[in-house]
This record gives sequence, structure tokens and C-alpha cells, in this order.
Amino acid sequence: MGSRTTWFIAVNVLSLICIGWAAAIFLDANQAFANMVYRKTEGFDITIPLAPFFIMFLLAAISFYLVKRSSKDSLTFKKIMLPPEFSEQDERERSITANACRNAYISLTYTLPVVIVLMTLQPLVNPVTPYFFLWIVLLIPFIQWISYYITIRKLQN
Amino acid sequence: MVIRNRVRELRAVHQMTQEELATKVTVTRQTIAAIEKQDYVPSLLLGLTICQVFNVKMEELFWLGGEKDGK
Repeated sequence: MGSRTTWFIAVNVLSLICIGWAAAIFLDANQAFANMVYRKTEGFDITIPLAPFFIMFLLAAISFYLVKRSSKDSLTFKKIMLPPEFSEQDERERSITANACRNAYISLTYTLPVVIVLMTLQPLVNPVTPYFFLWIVLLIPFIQWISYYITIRKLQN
Repeated sequence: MVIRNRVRELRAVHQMTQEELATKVTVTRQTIAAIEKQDYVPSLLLGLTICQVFNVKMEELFWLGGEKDGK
């Protein structure tokens, strides 16, 4: 459970960065389109780098391979859709997951107000980093995963 | 209050490895190690299954101990 969880949490965080990267690209594209519609600018052009999509595809393929390799039974749709870090093998691992989920839930209670307060800074920060709100929203799952991961490591040692 | 056990002792008497006991009671080796270190209290079902493997009564294998030592 330990090293597998480390791998899957690392994949989650990497995927999150890629999602933020891809969302920033689409944000730029929509901004250019909005400028054309509302400010009547002449046309717009967008460049979509394939790197974040390629990295996400690669991470998904490696994770799928690892899940398939470690699974003793055949892979059902439910198993594929379930986060792989939930693949408990016995009652102790199930209890560790339950504790980690509890802590991840509690972390949300503290993260959410902080995120909302940070969001109100948007008008101030926007000229410096236009993607500020995006990274702030992505902070929520990041904190939850970190909390989940720390609990698992603590309970396993 | 913690639950103490003699799993390590009885496993040695039965010349069984952690892996062998884990296979018999269908848990991971790490769970057996955690039970032996008193880090994990098994469920009633797992506790009774371990008793069955060693052919002992529940109270011979598990009992209420004092306070948890400073781990």
C-alpha cells in the first residue's frame, strides 16, 4: 500500500499541474475569443501545446498498467474508475483509508475559507498573474491529497 | 486501555512465519506485524480466525492490558 500510494499521489499532483496548465491555455483561448466577440477585434489565433495532454495520457497509461498488473482479479469498470490508492487488501488497510479520508475531509473544512479569502484578492493579483484563481481552486484537491497521504504514511509507520 | 496479545509467541510455538499466518487468515503480512507490535487491534472476526488457526480460546490470545506505552 505504501509505495503504491506514494506513486499514485505523485501522479495525482502531476496530473493536477497538467490540468492547471491545460486550463490556462483554454483560458487564454477563450479570452481571445471573448475579445473578438465583445471588443470586435479582428479574428484571434490560439496555440495549444500538446505537452500537458501528452503527459496526462502517459501518466494515465502507466497508472492503468500498474493497477492491471497488481490486480489479482479481472478489472471491472468500477475498479478502473475508483482511485487506485483505495485498493485496500485487508481490514487494516481499509481502516487506514477511512482515517485518511476523515483527515482529508477535515482539511477541506480549513482549506475552503482560506481559498475563498484568497479568491477575493483576485482583482489585486490579476494583473500580475491572470491564472491566480485557477491555481487557488486547484489548491483544494492538492491539500486534500497531501492530508490523505500524510495520514497514510503516519499510520503505516 | 489497550488490547495485548500473544500472537508473536504462539506463532513461534507453531513455527509459522508472519507470511504464513497472514495467508491463513487472509490479510497482509504487514497487518500481522502491526498486530504483533500492538499497533493495530484486529476486528473480532480476524481475532477469532487467528484463535482458530492456533486452536486457542480468545482470552488466551487477547486480553485487556494497561495504558498504551509511549509509542
